[in-house]
Amino acid sequence: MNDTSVLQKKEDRVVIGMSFGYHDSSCCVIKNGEVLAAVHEERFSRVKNDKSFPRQSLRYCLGYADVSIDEVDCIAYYEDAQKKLARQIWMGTIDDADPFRRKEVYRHICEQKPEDTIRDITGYSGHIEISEHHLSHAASAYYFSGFDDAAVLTVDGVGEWATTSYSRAEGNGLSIFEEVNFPDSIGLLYSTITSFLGFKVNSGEYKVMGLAPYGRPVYKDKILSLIELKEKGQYSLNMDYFDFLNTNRMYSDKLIELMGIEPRKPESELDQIHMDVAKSLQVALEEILLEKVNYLYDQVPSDNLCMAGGVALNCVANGRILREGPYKNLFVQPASGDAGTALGAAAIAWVGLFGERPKQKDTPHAYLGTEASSDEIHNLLMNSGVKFSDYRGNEEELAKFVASRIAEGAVIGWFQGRMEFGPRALGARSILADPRLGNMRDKINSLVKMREAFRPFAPAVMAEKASEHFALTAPSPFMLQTCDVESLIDLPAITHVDNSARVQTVSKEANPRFHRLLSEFDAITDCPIILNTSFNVRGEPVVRTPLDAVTCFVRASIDYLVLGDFIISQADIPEMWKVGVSNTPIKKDKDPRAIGHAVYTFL
Amino acid sequence: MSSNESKKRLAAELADKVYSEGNDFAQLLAFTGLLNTENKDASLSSVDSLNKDLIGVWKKQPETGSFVRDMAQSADWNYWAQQPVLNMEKAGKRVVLVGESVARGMLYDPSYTPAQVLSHMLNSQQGADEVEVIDLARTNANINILEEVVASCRQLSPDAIVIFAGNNWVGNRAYLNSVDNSYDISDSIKQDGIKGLRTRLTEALNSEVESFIDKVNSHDATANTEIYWVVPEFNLGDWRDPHINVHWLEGKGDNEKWLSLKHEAESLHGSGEFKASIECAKKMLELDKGDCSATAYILADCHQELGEYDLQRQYLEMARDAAIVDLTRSYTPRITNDIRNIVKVKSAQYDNKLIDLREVFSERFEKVIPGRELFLDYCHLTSTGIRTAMAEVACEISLSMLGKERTAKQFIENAPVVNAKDEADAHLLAAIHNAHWGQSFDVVSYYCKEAVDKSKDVLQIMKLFVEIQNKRLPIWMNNSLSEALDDISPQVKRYLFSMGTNCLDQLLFDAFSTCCSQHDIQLDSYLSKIQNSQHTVGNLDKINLLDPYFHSTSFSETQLIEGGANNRNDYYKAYMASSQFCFFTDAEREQQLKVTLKLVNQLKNEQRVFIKINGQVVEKVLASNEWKSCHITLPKKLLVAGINYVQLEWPEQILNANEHLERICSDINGQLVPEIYPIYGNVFSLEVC
Repeated sequence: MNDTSVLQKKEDRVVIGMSFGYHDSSCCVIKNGEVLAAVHEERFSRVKNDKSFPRQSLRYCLGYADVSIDEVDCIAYYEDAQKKLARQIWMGTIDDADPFRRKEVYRHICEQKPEDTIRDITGYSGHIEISEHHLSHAASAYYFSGFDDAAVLTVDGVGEWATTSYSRAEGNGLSIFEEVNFPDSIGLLYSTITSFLGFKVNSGEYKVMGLAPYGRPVYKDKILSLIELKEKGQYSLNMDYFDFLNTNRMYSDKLIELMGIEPRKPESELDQIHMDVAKSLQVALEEILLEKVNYLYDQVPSDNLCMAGGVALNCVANGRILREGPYKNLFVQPASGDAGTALGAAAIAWVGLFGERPKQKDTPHAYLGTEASSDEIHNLLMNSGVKFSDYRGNEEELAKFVASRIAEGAVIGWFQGRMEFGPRALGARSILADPRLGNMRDKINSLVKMREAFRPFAPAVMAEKASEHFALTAPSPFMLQTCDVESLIDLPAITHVDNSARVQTVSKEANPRFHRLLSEFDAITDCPIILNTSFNVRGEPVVRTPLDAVTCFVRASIDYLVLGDFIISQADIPEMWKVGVSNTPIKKDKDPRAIGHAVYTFL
Repeated sequence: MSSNESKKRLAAELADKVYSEGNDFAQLLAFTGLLNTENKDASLSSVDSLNKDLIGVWKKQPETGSFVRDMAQSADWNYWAQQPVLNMEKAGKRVVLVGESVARGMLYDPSYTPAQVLSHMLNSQQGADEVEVIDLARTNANINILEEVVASCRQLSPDAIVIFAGNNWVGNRAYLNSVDNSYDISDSIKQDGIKGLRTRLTEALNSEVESFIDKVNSHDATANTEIYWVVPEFNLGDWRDPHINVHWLEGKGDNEKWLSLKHEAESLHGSGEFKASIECAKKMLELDKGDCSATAYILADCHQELGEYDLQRQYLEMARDAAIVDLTRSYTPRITNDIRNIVKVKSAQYDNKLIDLREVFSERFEKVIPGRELFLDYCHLTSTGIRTAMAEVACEISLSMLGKERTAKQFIENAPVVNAKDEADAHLLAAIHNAHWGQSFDVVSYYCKEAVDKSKDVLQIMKLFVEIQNKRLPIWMNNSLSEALDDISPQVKRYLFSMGTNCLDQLLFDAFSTCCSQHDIQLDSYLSKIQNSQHTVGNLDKINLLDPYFHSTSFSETQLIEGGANNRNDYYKAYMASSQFCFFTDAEREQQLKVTLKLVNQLKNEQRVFIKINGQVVEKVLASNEWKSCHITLPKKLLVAGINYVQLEWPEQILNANEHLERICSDINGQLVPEIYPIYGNVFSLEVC
């Protein structure tokens, strides 16, 4: 017996990227220059915005890449914890900082360093590379943008100290040349008004964006008075209106005074004034960003702009930047929030280790997560004894059946292939419906997703027919910009009150089965567009496994569930499934892995 | 530079200090108390923040004043008695029963509960409806929940509160998570090793129990309510905690010495030399100071063989109580001698009544060591146990509250009995529960047999359970269960629906098969068919043998559920010199095994991990303290159709206790769960395909 079975260090180059500790933990793997897998931990743990170490994500990434932990060249972490600790300590020294904040400082200085956490949890003894937060964001956008050079803008609440960064990128090189530092933060401005409007900080920001089209920008000047735009890329917040430095609340009494209205109580009625505030905030944000993008162009006059950071998830602003800004091309990282920093950190480590940019320069799709084989789904259904239809080897019939049901007004749970990376459902874990039906938005919002009535839904459209219906200037495969609806078809379920829509263009190459479904729907209805929203209900992460999908399908009373090649009808599910699901609660915020919502988590 | 900028620079310097000098620096700052770290508000007792409109899951109705089950807490309803309303109006005397699962009558509830039995006993003696017994016992109740229930149930104006609890108190780890305590604990460990840890944990627990008893009585001065404590007993006769070697010992070479003594003691016991084995085990005891159940079990077994039952009991109690230091593994609820003694002493100070089930069972059954006749598992009582315990409570209440003297025997004679089907179901569930906590085939078989003896209907549930465990679906998706639902008792439904995880259950299924074959039901062939269809390599892409399904049938041994045995390390830990995993194959082709492993301790020299398939060595992996992966071909000739076993035999290593004790202290200071047991090796992944 000898030791020949022991694997020799393979020729493969493997870098793991990780984000954890604050919100939206994630993990990705780059093997031989290709991004093979990237996943959010919340999809495994079922804890929304899970901040815990991405244990299950790591195991998935290693398994998908077919590498062992000892074959990993480097684990890259997305943030400089020491710099962040300095900021957190500083916050504890501020006059009148509340006791909670001071106590948090102690917790921060005692907690395990990310590097130690990685080693403690995984037993990994290899190289660990730490990158700064905004550089990770910037790298996540640039290195996978498909551009050879670009200007990069990152905007979020706060990382270590930086809240906004301006970079130039060319070839392998990416460098930040200017930053705006905490507490001056466009992201925190947005989060503060989000909180003022009674939505959860860290997760309710996109609701504000959805609410904005219902309002008028009558508070725009007041909101702009909260921020002073300065020379170059700089700006500052007037801290008299913000309390997040001193208390466990985002806004101050002076902001209430300035706005002249009471902050909205969470879950209370939404009035026109709340919509007006949302609209004012949205317009203010767009104007601020446009000015800073123009500044960035002065410094980096490329054709290409890359964006990342939580604020880059504001697709309305992105659309305006592309339409009115100086750059010809815009790439927004699909996982623009902190989950995407795992990708950026991995890319930075890759360049540092191997002296070259990752071979994969673009982002052809976002389907980087787990999948379920046809056999696996079949076994699940057979074991359960539920009645189902089997379309294996007959994709055309499957697409026809589903398209017909959608045209008849049915709501479909659509589970296909690998799960999306990033917050948007792009036809792998989606709820689908007919966009032409006037009542569909209300139906899905109230009965299916159990969420606020004002929330808009997005259209997925065959890429080749997108321009017939939407005022798009470029493909929008990741649903990261809005545009006007110009269709001759009445599309009430996906058209916002301001005639805008957040479009996903679906190409045959990126998602053939979803494209086929759209084609079949088009063939039946002359409408190549389907309403597409994420496959989850309020408060839970997007479904990951067939079992998650079944649970959500039952909970949300969706009409049909399409699991790969198989279809289940709501009419056929056993009564015990409903009882079982009703006794399977969605994991709540009190789970220790969940994030807080009173103030921005990073604070 | 502005003062703000100065502060930022200062903050950066401090952060640099923290990072360059490690977490110890920050922790030392904290231990001085200068940082005022503790949130004093959090120390307010649960009673101080009591919601006056709630009693458990029942919410006060403003119109009637009665309490009805609160929809907002519907997820918790199953923990409590199935009682829709708690009425405020009192017809006669009112007794409230508070407690944990033992007081709920777990595995019988709702068909047969201590509250029902007590009510029947009291009323059969006193006349109809003279005494009302309200069941406020709650499964999984910890001391804080009990405190809340005792305080809130005063709204029902009880004449007596019976508190039947104590099993769930030892598992509280909150004490370890306090910055204020951590330095004291680590200081104790530095002085006395793990004994120091136990001392601190025991002190904290004692203080918590004393405080609870004080709070229970603080409400009493004006309430005119009598308090009765029912102190549980433990199934010393049959219950065995899963085996573990001794924790880290302080002296150089002591861990190796202890292992050597253990080997010798077990060998002597095996050859019937019980006195010599005792001498050997006592040397082990000198080293582990009574904090390791393995030593105590050897001593107990030897004294049993010698007919020395008082000594046997003493060591069984020692084994039971040693679990307090087992911080990383799950162990079952239990009452320790310390808790028992405190309840006895403290309740006497307040003139509370006390029913000590240890004494009650000992007197009634004239046995030093109670076992399966009174217990369904570690602490939950059989119907005989319930009747015996409640008769004693009824005696006390009858005398004290009603002024009527009756004997326990009189109450038992008039007690309700369980119907055969419910008794069968309780014993079937006991078999499953015991199997899932790693108990022996003998014990599991006993409960299976008792179940079948009571009602043959359980044979069908056994078959159903085989399907449930093998199909690995959520229970609510199981079609066979759905079809059988109308014929299944509420207690079986509740147990199955709340069963968190499933496992291969080989030992349990063997016991089921034995019972079934005695009644001409061939469960073996059904089991084999379903296991092969569901688990055979080849039908599946690959099998992760670290999935607890394939390495453990005991919750105590389960690792890597959502990331680690102690929710910390995301890899398997070998606590013993040999680790075993299993998989199914049709044995018609060779299989591939992929393993990533490492050793944990200092190496003596070149060390190899022996990898065996069904007892045959297939590879000797040169291992180190860093992860190493290898692919191994499992030849067809070594495989068998059906279940196959993979064993990892870990090499001998140098056990450096000082290094590990220091790490334990550091972990405690950092509020991390420390690993107190030596580990032979770790496995990051183990797959067969």
